[in-house]
Amino acid sequence: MSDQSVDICARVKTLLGATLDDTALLQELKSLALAQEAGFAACANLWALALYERNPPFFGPFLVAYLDARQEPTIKVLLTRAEADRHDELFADLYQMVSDEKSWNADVARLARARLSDEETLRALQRRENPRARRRLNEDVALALYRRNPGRFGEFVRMHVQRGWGRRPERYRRLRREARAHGDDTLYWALFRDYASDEEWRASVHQLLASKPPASALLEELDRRQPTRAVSLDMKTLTSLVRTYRQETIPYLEQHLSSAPDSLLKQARKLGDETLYWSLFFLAGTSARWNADLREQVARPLSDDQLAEALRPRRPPEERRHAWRLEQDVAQALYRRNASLFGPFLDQFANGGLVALELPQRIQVALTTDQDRGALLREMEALAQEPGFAEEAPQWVPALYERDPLFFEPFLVNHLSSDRADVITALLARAEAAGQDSYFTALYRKVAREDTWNKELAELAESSLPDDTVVQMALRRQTDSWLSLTDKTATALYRRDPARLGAFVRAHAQQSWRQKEGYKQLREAARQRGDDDLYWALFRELADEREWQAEARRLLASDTPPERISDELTKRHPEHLWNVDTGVIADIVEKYGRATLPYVQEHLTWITRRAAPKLLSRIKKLGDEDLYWPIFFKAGDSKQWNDALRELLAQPLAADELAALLPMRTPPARRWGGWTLEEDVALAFYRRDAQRFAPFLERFARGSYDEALFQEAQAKQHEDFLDYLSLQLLRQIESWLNAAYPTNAMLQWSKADLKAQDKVQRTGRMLTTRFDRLAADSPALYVRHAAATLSRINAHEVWSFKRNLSLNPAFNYLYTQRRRAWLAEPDALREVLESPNIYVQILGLLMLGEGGADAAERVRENLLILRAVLLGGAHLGTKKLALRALELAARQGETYAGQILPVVEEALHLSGKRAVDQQAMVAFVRLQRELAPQSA
Amino acid sequence: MEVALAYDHPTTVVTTPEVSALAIATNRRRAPVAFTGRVKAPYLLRQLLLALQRVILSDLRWLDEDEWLQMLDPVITVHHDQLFFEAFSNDQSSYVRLSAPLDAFEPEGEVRYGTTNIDFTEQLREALTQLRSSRRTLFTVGATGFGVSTTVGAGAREHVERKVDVPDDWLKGFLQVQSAFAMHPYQFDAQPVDLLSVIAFLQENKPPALPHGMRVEFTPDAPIVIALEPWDQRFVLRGTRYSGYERSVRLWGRRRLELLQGVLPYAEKVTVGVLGRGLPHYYICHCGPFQFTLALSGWTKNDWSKDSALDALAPRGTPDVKLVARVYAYLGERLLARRDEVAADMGIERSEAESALFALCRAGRAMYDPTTRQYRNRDLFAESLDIAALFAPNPRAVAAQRLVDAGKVALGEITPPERRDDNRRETRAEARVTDGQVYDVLVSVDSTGRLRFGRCECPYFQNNLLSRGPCEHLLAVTFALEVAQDKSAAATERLAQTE
Repeated sequence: MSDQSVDICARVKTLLGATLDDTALLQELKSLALAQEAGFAACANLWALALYERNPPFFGPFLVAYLDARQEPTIKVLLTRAEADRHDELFADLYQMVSDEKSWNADVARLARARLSDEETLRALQRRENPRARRRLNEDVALALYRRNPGRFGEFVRMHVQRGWGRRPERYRRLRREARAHGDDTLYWALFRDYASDEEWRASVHQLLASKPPASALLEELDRRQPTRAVSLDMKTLTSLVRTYRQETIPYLEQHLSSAPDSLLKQARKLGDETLYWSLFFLAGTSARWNADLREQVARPLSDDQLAEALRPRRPPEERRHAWRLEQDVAQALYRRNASLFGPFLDQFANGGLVALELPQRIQVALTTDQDRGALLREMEALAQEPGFAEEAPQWVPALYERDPLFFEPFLVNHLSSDRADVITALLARAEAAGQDSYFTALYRKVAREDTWNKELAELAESSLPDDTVVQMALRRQTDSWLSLTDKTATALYRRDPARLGAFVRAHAQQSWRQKEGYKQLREAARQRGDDDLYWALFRELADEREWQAEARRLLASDTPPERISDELTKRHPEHLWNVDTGVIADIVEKYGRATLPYVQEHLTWITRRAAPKLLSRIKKLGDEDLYWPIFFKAGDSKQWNDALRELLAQPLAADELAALLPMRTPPARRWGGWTLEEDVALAFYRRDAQRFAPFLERFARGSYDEALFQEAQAKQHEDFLDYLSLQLLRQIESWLNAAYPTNAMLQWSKADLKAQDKVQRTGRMLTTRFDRLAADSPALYVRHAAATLSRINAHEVWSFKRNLSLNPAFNYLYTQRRRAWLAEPDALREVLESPNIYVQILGLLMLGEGGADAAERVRENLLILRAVLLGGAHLGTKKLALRALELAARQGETYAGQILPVVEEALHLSGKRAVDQQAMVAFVRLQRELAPQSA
Repeated sequence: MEVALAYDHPTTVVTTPEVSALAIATNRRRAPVAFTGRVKAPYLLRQLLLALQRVILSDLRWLDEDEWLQMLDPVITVHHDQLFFEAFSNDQSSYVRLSAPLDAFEPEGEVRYGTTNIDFTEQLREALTQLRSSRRTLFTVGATGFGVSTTVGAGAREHVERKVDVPDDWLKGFLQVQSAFAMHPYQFDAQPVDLLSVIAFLQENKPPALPHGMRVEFTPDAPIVIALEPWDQRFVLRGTRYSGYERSVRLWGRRRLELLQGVLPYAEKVTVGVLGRGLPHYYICHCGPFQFTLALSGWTKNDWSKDSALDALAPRGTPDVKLVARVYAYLGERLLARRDEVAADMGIERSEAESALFALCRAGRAMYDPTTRQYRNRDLFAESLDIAALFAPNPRAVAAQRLVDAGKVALGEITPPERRDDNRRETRAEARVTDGQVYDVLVSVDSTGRLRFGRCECPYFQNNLLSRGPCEHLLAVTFALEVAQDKSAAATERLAQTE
């Protein structure tokens, strides 16, 4: 135990032994606890039991607020006492601090065996309930409790075995048997639905059907067994169900059948009940099967009316009609057969409806009409907007290409879908023969598939065509980079013409998601040819961690001239390895020193991902601080930084010398990374030279020690730094508000934290005491520092304005106290009005809304800002504050009115939801009326 | 083009209870530019700098770190009358310029005129918001220190050096902006509150259907009106009065007007410049001593670089290289001048001056300032530009020349400005062009040879009007008209000599 803790324990003992009444003792203890949180908690064994013995109801809330799970032994002692003494609420709160599901189960098991009455046991169980997090009983414990008295504990057990989130290995088979043995249907079926396996469930349904229940009871019985997860019955059971109960099964199947195998439909068909068959079909059949059936119907020698009659049962139910789409040939066949008779059916079920079916005819008319190409293009553009246009490609593609291939190129490329590979392939042959390269390339990428592309290129590389032709044809087939060449194809292309096809091969020699190609042949071919560029490009693209490390070690062992080392490393730098053990780089740095820097700096994040300490230690050995610290701030962490600063502080340096060494050890301005000073380091800097190091602390001192710094700054009357710390404490208070004063919504899952409330009040008092002190000195001094504090609030700091105003004592003080003093300080008022944070601006507006001569003068000085508030995006409430300030100021005389009225009049013309037009109108008219006599 | 950027330290804002210092870091790879002054209106400057940053960062596309690093930093220019920032939004559809007269500052120390890149990152935003008028605010460009003494821990020096491979289309886009300004669009002054109402309406209403245009309606002897489609919601721009011929200009990408939302509440008036349907337009917000200019391409996806093809509307002809060099030297010495001043001082024709200045703008060596209507010396880069590669001959212009050479352009009636009855100081020509089929074409060209208006029957024009530049037929008629005017001028001269 540290000296500090011993001291706190002694103070606790003294307090407990003093002749204080309960209230006074509580206050003293709270002060001590909040000032010395850790030390006070450490001697919980001293005060917790003593307070309990002194007055459990009075000190209970304190115990709950100031004890936590770290004081488990003390809490356990208290629990025993509280339970024995029937302090149920205290027991429940303390119990939740130290129990989890496992310990709770053990506790319940113990209670199940205990020689208490059932009544007492149930009460003990209820005392251990966590109303905000339901816990689950394991099977042994549930069984033990249930067996003890099914009637008394059945409900408790049922509530704690329900299925929930997460993986649950328990199946509660024994508990189910036990429930069944006791005829406890509610528990049995609840457990069955949640925990029975698929096999158990199917067996149960099978058994049910074998018992031939009446149709009226069937649905209820099935539902009672239906698992809470999504499962389906086996074919045999389904068939049996449908065969026996026919239409009666439809409601059940509607809910639980997602697909129907052929045999089920065959069975239904065999029953000869068309309605049943199609009901089942549209529940779980497929669109392909439906189309096949319709195709059969169309092919039958039926009259149009007979066909329409046949279609009637085959029409999908209205609520599911979007799931059933006619295939093109079926739709076309019906359309050709009788467009008007089958029109409504086609409109509903053909893709694009009747419009799409009429499209071929309209395209034909457009293509055959005698019109210039521009008019044709415009007409085709209009037709292209119709659904189904792309499917008609065989009709319009050749025609437009024939008409004017170049003019229609953009249209064809835009509207030809890759689904029409047949049409595109035919067009490709013509475009290639005609040497239309851009055409070819644009269309080729629509149909290129990796396997056929590779095959085609490999054949080309091996072909007996002249080299020029091969190169030209291959390059024409160079498409988007996502296609990967196989090793065989790449090597064949490369060998055919390394100079002209090398770049193409390089661009497509990559590992695709489909295949992990090593390109051994290609790399060997490049090596043999001495093609360094390609060889290393492939290495960077393909090397795995082992290969890269071997190569890096080879480089380390070689005698590379220092001026080349960085380039050599860059040449080997892998493009796709993100998380590699880069320790070997640190060794290279040690060997070559600064010569490696260009490479190290370029790839620092990559290198330090797994080898930061090693790299930093090697660079430190180089003894160059200018080099070390920039790399440190990219590779090091906050803890190492604090250690380094501690070392620095331990040196016998004057404050000037220390300050001179600090900039190099300061993280760069734009480097994000959570560089935070630890308490001892922060305090040491501040004690060394408060004025000099305060800006440094403002950047990096973040944490629970703001209060300690605040006390030190108070002692030094270092008001500027106190402004910063005041804001930090204001922020801390805000962060405690939700715990201290949960909203109604939060109360569903949390309780008000009394300790947090104490913290809010105590820190708030600390700040308001400072504000009072400043104001007593001079109101102007208070306002200046209040403005400096508020002005530091960032633009988008999220503040719950209303809650802060009502619950945060310091915030409330700033907004409600000494308003007149603000009006006498133009700079301070302007400071808050110019804040980027709207809530701080609001403070300024509230002050201006006080009215009077000073306020009018301040309004005049800040007219630009008030105009911006009125015209900008502020809420209406804020704008009303600005309007009020303007109106009151204008009343102070003609000089003010003359400047203010045009601003109000301008706001009158703003429209939109954030416009204050109505309010402005009222204010403006009121002002004009009042001021008219003055002007007159 | 690869541009080298190097900063000794990041741009910083250091704040103490008494002083704020905004130290703008400049590119050490360029000739030094320096300025230090106390800002007279720090709050206003702060709001405008924040708005400038909003424009730069306005991009709905997600950019990864590498892409961010490939963006070229904004440039600052210090001249003896003003300093100004210029930048492009990431999506290249908006150009922004913030200018401040030097008398908005109380200068302290040395001033070095010129242009350079500045470090103006996203992280600066939070720091900028700390500027207040209640504190003495120092504005420093190009200084190496922080200018404020209490700086321990204010941010260690961090040398940043990078090379940006500026994409050609980005570069071209930046240079294209000058074409838009120099085309002397129709300008009028609107009240900020009216534009704020337009923005509010757009923010509060989701368009139920196409089109999503914004029409600027010009009716003789009536106020100018902005109408929003598809609602046809009309906003009368109070205080405007139009006196030309009746027309309606449709513009797209109207949501970009939101970029002005942070500026308009501080503006006394807004000068709006409109070129034509689907063409760039701009807004100059006059905020106290400062001017904030936002220029928008025809529509958002139609960024400045790709499709505007504004150059095609410009007068043709390559000016003499030596003349361009002389004009450059002249501007370098004067820093800023009007076209007529250039012509008069150098003893050259106005059209020659215009052509040379246009060439300098395209080369990134000068810029047209729409606020003062002057050309300014402004070297966008230290590196030289490959203009030939950037502005390769427009294929439509090549096709147009071919049509002229093949005698496929038959000029009809030519109406010089003095014979026009609509007060437009432009020459109008009707013509018939045979290109596969016959198209009737009408062009209207101003005194500098710039195409101001045109109409053609071809599909390209019907689909795009002038928003992607003129079609080959319009260009062919413009070229033919140019030849005809030259011939006519020569004949007049000969006649005068004979007489």
